[in-house]
Amino acid sequence: MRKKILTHIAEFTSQSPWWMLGIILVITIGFALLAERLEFSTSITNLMPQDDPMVKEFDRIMEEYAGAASMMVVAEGDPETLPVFANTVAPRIMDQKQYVKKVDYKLPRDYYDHHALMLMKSSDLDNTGDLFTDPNLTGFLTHLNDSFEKEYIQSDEKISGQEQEEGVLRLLDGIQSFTDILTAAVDAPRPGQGEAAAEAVLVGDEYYRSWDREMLIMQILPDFSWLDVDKDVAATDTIEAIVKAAAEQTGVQAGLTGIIPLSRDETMSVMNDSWTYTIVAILLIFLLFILSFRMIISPFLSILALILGIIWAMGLSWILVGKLNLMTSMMGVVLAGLGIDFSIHIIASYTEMRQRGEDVAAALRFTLAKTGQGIITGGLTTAAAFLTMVISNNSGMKEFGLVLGTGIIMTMVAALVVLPTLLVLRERLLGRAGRKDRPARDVSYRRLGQTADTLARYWRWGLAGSILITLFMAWRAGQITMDYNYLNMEPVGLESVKLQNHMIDKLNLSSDYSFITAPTLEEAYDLTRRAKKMSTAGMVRSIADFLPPESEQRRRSRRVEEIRAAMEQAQVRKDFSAGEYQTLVREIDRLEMNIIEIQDMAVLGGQDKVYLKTGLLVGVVPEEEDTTLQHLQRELSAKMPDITRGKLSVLREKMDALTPAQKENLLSFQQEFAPAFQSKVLAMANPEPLTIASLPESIRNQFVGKSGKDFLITVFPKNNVWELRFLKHLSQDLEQLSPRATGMPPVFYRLMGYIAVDGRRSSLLAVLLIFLLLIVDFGSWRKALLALSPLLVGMIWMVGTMELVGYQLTLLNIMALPLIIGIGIDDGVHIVHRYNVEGNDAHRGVFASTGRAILLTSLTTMIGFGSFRYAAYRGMGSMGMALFIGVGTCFVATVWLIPVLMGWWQRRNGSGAQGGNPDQS
Amino acid sequence: MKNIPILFCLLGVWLSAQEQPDAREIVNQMTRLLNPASSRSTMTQTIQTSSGQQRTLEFDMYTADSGRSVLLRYNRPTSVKGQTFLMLNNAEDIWTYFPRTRRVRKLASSSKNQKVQGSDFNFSDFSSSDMWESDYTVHLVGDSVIHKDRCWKIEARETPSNDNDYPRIVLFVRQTDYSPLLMWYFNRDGRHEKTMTFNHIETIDGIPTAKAMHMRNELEFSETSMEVIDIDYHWTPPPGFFSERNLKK
Repeated sequence: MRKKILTHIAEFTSQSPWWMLGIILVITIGFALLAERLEFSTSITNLMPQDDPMVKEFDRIMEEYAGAASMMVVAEGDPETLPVFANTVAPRIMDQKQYVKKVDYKLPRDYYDHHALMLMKSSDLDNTGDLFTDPNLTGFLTHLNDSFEKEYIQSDEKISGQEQEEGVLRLLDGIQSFTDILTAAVDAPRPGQGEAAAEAVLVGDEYYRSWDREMLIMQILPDFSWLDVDKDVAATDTIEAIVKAAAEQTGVQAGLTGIIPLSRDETMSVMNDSWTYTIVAILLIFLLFILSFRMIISPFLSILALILGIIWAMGLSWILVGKLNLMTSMMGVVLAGLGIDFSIHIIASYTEMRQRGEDVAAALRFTLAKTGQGIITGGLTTAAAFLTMVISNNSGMKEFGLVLGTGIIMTMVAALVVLPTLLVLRERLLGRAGRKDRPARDVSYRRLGQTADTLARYWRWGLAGSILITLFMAWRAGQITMDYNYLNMEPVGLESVKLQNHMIDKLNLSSDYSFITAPTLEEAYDLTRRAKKMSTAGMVRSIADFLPPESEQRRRSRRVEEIRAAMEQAQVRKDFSAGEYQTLVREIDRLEMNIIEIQDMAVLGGQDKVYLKTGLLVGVVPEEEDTTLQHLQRELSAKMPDITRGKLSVLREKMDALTPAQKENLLSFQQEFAPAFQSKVLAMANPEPLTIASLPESIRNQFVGKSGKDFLITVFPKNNVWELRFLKHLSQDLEQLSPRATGMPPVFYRLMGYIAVDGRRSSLLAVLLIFLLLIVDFGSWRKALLALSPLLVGMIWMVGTMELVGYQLTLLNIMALPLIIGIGIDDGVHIVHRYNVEGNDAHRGVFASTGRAILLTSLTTMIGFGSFRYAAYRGMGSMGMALFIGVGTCFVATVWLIPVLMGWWQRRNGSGAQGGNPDQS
Repeated sequence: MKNIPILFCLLGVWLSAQEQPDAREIVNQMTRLLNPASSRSTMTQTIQTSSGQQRTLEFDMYTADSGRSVLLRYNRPTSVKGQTFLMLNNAEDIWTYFPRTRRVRKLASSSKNQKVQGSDFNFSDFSSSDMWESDYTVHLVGDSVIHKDRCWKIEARETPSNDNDYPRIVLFVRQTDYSPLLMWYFNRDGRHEKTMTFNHIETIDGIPTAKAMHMRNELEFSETSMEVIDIDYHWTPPPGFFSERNLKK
């Protein structure tokens, strides 16, 4: 049947090539119009099953809450200039109403100014509440030191958690500002210094900044879902232009990071890449064709047939899936690498027949009727392997299987229909032009034939060698390690990735956070409390930060009332006694000692940012031995003239030798500081109960759902979530915490789970399906097994070789394993088919002719995948190289194993090297 | 007659079963081994800083009263040279001395079960502990081979009245000398949180001594290593050595 159809195609094509060309052109125009509609998306959730509850919850949160997805502006520069930049750029970004809902870059000052003490934990109010009872400079410093000794020294672990570390840094930052202002006030008093100092210690920096204040971040809350890739690209482009312009205007460095800019960068990188390496691959394949067949026109026609096949495949893809995702985006280059194989077999067979003196019609008939059958088997087995992925749960693999499976069939049909038509037309045109076609040269690879013949003759040695190599490779394959860091898959030098890493480094803050929603306020409190206990959580943000539970509010309220009463009764001193100057000096000395002790604990605890921040205040001991501390001290020396003396050390030295004028200045400072401190504390010590209604809109939008009955908890991971082992633990913790937990990290982890399960299932199904197809095709399970054996051995060699050349398994190249099943099977299929045509002892002829064809098809496929090596998106590169190696090892396994096994079977049948059939053994 | 060899085998199995010490006895022997009467050692500790760097700290450790009293004084890095921790009564009372400020601070009593700054060890890991006796019931669950050494595998489960961080600990104790080789700590969620390994065991003054200890936090991927550079089991503490007053000396 198959042979009959192929013979008809050959006859029709050789008789009516122009008609055939017309039909092909009509079909191509139709598919090209469809292909033009294909869209492209890099969204990870598009790879997930859309009915997955985690994806649904993620999408719902995106819709419901303003703070769910984000884009971060990261600015670096002079600490004085950064707020100028922030205040310049924020309104400009806000003007982009079509993309931006809100820009969050300052603390909700008004809320803090009126409720700060109600937002402090009861235990903190107990330990440090006295700090707010005396507004005078001496009283404030005494209470500050008392609270330091209670809070951070007596309880050893107070600075070891990330949240606590952030708290210490914030407090130290306030002290740094206070010290700067007080030092300046002692020498050069100016109005406003007292108020600024009071604000510094009570409120602190209102911007989100790093420990050295040289990095500032702003969170942009978009008015669209990041799943909308078109908007990701457009919004990032627009906002990036605004940010860069403002940065240039104010003299800072600034850029964008977060999931939206990352999505834009990945999209652009993958799109640029896929065009570049498709063109490079086609050019290299063309060159290889010319070199191996020593002709120019025929390879050109093959490429033309291939391009038409890809257009057909893309048109069909639009009908089947509508848009390409991160995985299917590389269909062009994969189809180029695999689809050209069909043309190579046709050209090889056709030129061989022509060389034997057959006319065009006979050569074409033989080519399609004999080689065509192998092509169809090879094409169908490859397509079947891809199509098994349709059973996958995850949309990415499902679509990948569907698009590639049908694409292979389309390129195969194009090769069987288009290429013969073009070959006939070429011959006709040459004939009409009166030129005589040169006889085709013998381009068979005799050496390959000789090698196969030798291996068949010395099959024992060959078999022993292949077993030894396979055992060795299996051992090496077992040693291969996994690169768990997904960021190693990203393109090198992406600004969004660089800024993200820099942000994690300087602020211990990752933009890849997770979410949990709670249907009630009580559950939100409970989830927040449990989330904070997670060993994988760095920081947890929720409504609980702004709206404490009622019972807790009642406790706090009592203490806040006491503080308020104490502060109301406190006397603001207009004068300093001599004793008070001494107390002031002593308390500043004590403050320095407390901070030195915090620094010592930070050295032992490895809290580098606390070490650096305390270094700015009290200096450091020059380190003679430890390189990690020496490195930190180098960082400090760029920010202070003498690393052994900090700002507080300078103030203490100044206080030790105050001149009468300086004492006067200090008194002026006290006279402004104390009333400012008092009035601010009285405003903050507001014991009124807090309610959802009293929350500012910005906080409500961030943590309360639109319905007002659902609350968002944001969990910032402690480590880099792209480190897959950490991601696993984080996802497990979140799953245990709540079945509603979602966000990029758990979605990504679940996607990996789907890929692993689907990959295993579809791989097993592919092997089974291919084996059944081969049994049907060859009519013999032994021949089917013979054709399959190079693939199985080649896969072991592939992983072993990857380990030997120093590759690691990655999230992307691990997918090369199921892919190679579909790709690597072809070599064995074509060789066994040729044995069927030539006879079981025709090792020399089979490998000289079809061996050459499979060498070329392997090389072209390797070129196709090898070109990924230079893709900016390194994940593609890792997968391309795995497939490059896999195709190579499958070819070597075919050339080695099949002659050896044929030789063995011949021997078992007692027919020496001249006969025998595996079916008879 | 045919059954005689089988009877001998059964007798052998029964006798060997009789020789197996019970889990409590094994754990007591192990505790005695880990807590000699007194000792003076120099050790290094490698921690991971928040910037992801490895920092090596060196300290002298003095123990007395079978580990109930411990004094730990840092020698390196220069920045914390002389900083000292004193742990008394099985780390129920902890003081720390800061040489730069010449001040002594008492740590909160809850610090006992907290991590020693930056490491995966708790303060209680440094001192002798009667926790095996008071907080856990122990069961011998089988034999196991760790690095070619035959070990008893013992499971310690928290007694009902306790509230430890690790309600379940699995210990592998070497059968030849009662040295612990491996401990797995499971948290309240049932997850394997920490793994402690004891390596390079040498017999010093007749006491098998692990010269390297490694604690790995399986959930946070942090690791802390400790190595013994030098140890002296004949050291006798001078009077008043383990006192708050001695910290400043």
